[in-house]
Amino acid sequence: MDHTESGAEGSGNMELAQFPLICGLPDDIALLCLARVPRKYHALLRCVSKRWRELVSSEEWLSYRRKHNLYETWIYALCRDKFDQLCCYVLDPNAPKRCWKRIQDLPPSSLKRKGMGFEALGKKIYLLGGCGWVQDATDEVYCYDAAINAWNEAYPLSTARCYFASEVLNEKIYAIGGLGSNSTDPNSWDTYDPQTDTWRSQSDPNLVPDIEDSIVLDGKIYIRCGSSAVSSHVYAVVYEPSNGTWQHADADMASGWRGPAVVIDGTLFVLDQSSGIRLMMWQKDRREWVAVGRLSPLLTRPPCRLVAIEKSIFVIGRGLSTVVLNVGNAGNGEGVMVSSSVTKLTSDDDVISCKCVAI
Amino acid sequence: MASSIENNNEKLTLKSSDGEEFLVEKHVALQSTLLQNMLDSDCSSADVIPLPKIDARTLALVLGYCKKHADASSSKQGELNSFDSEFLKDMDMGALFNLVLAANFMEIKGLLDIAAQKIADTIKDKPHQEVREIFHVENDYTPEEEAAVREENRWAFEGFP
Repeated sequence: MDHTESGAEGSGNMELAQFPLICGLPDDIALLCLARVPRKYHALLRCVSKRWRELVSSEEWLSYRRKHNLYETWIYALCRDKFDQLCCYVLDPNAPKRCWKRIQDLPPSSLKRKGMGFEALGKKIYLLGGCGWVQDATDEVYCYDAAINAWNEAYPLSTARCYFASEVLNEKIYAIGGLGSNSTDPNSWDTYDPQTDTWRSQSDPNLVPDIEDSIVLDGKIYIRCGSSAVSSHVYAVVYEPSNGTWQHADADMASGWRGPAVVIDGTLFVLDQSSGIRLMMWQKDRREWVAVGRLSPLLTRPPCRLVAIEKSIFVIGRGLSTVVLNVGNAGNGEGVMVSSSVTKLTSDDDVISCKCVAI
Repeated sequence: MASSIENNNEKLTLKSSDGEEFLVEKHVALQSTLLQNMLDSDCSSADVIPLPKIDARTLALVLGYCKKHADASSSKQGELNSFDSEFLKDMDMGALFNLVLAANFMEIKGLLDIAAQKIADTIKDKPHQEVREIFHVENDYTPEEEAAVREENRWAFEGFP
């Protein structure tokens, strides 16, 4: 019985400590064993007992798996189906037979939204703001817990927004610029801190409302702004978190950022579809864009979104047709890149955004 | 390298919880961080080191693992991997628990990892009722709660291979 008591102390805030996790093992050793169960079986663990369910849903579980390199990263895609409704799919990229699977439906009130943000932080995915055809921008936030496959309402944005940029930087969510109700300052951004569950609003005149895309590179948020009708000039602004200001970004970098982008180990990759489909890489030391390789146009179904897991870029297009490129051994310039692919859905859903969640 | 260590032929004695003594070559014992720390802190190797939490059967297994890993050169990783899986094959859950506890106590990371992984792997593709039986987990769900949590997680089991 010693085991039970010492284990319960070790498990900290765990309730229902009357039963050991595993009979015959102290809880810390039981955690050490159970945390090695592959992620696809976590739903099974939740069915075993209340304590197991609590464990699998806990922050302790997440931090243990991350700390000991046991985590597995799944990709979540926000889509719009043929009925013009939002839906979400998940892909386990390491499954023997890879396929996209639909997750729990989004809350009904959000199904018809446009221009919302989609961000992943910790084990949660946030659906932020947005608007409808006849509905003004909203400040509502919904949160999907990937450990329990459920959506819940979360603390609202401090500013109602739609068609804005959202990014995660230093464990905080940024909701930046975009359009809002009349009262919204178009040069403002909000920061969400999950530790305090609060939003904070700031503004800077360098921010413009017309936002096309955003990335985080070298600890800074870059936003690609809409090209004006007068010139086709592409430009970007960059947020410096150390002093909280927005500045114009390197024009050469912005000039090549002409498609969906992803960052791997501090290197920016862009899928350029202006002449064939090429994966481009920004070489910041030489300040120039170089081609990594070409992709067969038969494989990709634009518009595409990019996410990266380690050295692999997932190019996710219409109907969630997915091409996986390994850039670890790439760099042959104009050659066709070696890739693998994931079967698309039977429907032709548009992909709006893709995010990774590691548990 | 290995031969020079063997030549030096230092040995120490470990004593299991049930009083059995094991004479162990020092380089084998060094697989355990616990023993390594004890030897470093000038604990005389002539002394008998008691391991009051580990029974003789488990200790014999642990030392078998340590000997194999101490003697194998690092280039033979493949051979060690097949040794590891053979070593744990057909081991019952009670023996695995003892092994994981011993490896944790003696701080033998490699053994702890493979034994814990083996325990985790037994959960794969089993119905939750069977997992409960294997690990003697008290089912604290009411039938209604259990049905609800099954329903909550139903999506995860759809299209299970």
